[in-house]
Amino acid sequence: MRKDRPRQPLNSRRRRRVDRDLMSRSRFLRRFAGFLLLSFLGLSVIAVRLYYLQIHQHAPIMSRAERQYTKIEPLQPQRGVIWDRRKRMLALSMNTDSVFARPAALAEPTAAARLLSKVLDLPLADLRQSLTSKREFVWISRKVTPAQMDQVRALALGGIDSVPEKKRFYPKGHLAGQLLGFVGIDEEGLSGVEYALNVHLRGIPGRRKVFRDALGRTLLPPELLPSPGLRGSDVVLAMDESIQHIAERALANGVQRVGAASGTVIVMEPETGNILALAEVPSFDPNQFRLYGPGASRIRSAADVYEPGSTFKVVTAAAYLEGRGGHAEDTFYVEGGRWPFAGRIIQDLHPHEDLTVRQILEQSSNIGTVKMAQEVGPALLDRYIRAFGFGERSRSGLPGESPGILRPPRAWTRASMAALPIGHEIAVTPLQLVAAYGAIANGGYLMRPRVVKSIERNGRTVRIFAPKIVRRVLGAEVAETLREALRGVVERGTGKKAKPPGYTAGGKTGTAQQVDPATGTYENGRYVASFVGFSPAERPRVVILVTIDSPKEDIYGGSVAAPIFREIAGRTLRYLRIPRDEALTLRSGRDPAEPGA
Amino acid sequence: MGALRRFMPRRGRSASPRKRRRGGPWFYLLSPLPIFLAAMAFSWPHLQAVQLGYEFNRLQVEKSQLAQLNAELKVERAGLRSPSRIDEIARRDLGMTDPSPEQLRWVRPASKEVSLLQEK
Repeated sequence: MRKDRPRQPLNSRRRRRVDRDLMSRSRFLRRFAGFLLLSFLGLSVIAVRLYYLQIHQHAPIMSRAERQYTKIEPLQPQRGVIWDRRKRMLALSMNTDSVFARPAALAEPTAAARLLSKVLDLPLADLRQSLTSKREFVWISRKVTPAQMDQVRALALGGIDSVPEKKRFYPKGHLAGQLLGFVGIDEEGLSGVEYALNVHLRGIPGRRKVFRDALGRTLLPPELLPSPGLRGSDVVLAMDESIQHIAERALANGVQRVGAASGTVIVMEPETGNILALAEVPSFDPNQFRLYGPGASRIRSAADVYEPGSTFKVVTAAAYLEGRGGHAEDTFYVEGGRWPFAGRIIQDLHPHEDLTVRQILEQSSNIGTVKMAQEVGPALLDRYIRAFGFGERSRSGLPGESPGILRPPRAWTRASMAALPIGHEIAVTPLQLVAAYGAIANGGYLMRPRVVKSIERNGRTVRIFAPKIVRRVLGAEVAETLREALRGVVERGTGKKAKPPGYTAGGKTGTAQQVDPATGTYENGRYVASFVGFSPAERPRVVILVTIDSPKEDIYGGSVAAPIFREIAGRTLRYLRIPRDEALTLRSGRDPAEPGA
Repeated sequence: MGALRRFMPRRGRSASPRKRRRGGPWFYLLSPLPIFLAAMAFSWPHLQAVQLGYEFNRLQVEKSQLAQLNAELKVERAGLRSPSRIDEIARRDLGMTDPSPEQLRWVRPASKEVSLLQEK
């Protein structure tokens, strides 16, 4: 067949092939142009749509999207730490979980209540009532322990969930419980230092914006770093944990020994006013504040007042020596221990005929003190009482501080001049009294009681509460005279049991009947036994006040409170590495401080 | 390749056919590549940012867990150092007592750390 076909000329075949090529190319170009056109149209539609979505509808779509995948999470600020003066931790906040329920989402509320009751140690009936309620949200338990939370998670109950919260911990338990105070469920300070310095401790709440993906996972792009607000500042107290423990232990033993209702101890550094310890019995554990009745967290040393009794005689003596220009060896006739004055009989426990000012303090003579006050006069006596800080708040910063009760001289009667000089018809706080003795101990300067030493932020001190002199009350000479007289009280007078071994000390005993608030009269059998003093006597490093409320076994300050002073002073001075100022005699008769002893 | 060749212009062998047949399809195949690369260049950092966001969040969670553990350990340490606990162990378990004054000898003066008078 092919052989029969007539052969075409070569040029003609080539031309046809070229034509075919040209037609093919032309068809391709047409198709390609069509494809481009369609693509262009498609892209144009997309571009228009993009313009509409990205530019024209940008704002509403963006806000809608943000609502869907972003969330503002509030951040509770970290409450500051409370340290003692040597940076030992006393209070700290930690993250913890609070368990809540959505009752509608619970499949078996009764079974869930039974399980949660065991894990969280909650009453079953209350829990069942909560979980079967028609409310959308109920708290099951706030601020549970990590172990409890692990158990709740292991139960995997639908409708039971948790939210993170902060919880305050006081790792030392009841140590300085009243002084530290406690915080409520919302981390706001409610008493003690927690309340007084709440504005510094609490910090500023923060919030953060987080992205959540379709699976609910949190995505935090670097440009949206969390803004955690401002962490609370740390507070450094002037209190020393070890001295606080010494004071609390000695006080608890002393209160138990005499069957007293309560007691307080304040240890103050006279040169700075630093409150090194503020102990109270009964104690208070801020970790379990709900277990205590109202008033248990009150700082009784600052809030409660009492009649100081004989411990106040030193103020009268100071007024006589400084204001009246008297001398320590001035002699007063003390009427043989019984003296009718202003319609009442003033008595001394130990009768004497003549006593010097020094001996009046040593023997705690009521008659001698009233006679000194007669020399001073009401106006001058009032001036000195107020100069020592009585009748006004000490501005220590402790919450609920009382100014005490001190009537103006115009309200005094003749009998007042027989009562006030020996510490009656006046009510003081333990804090006021310890500050007054601090002035005698440090050479005459009334110092403001210093509870807080400084405030720190991120380890840096941002504020220092410097020691503050309120006023000069006495000259150095009179202060020294009074120190000597008070030393005599401990060495020869009513306060012999207060002398710490190895150290000299000075101080004054006090035994005052308590006033019944209901009747306004003195109550039989209820006394406040107290001792306030300092040690060492030459250059006092600590001033210590001990008050024992309603002792049963014994009532006298010299036998109830003085031994507590002795124990606290001795142990505190040893802890502070204060060398003893008195030679000790060993059984061998040698002073151990001597070489070879 | 063969199917695509139908859309390609078929030229005479005289017009350097080998070069045109080899370059043509690659040109069309690779032409979207710059667009793809541009898209990748645009989206890659975004993807990386998302991944880093997850990582960042994971590290944040880890950090808070470690901080929590740290705080728990601090509280535990503070509790263990509680003077009342140490006192009780010393007296009850170890039979220790306070030294009497004659048992005390100061070998050095009060240190700066504990001296009240040298405080700030």
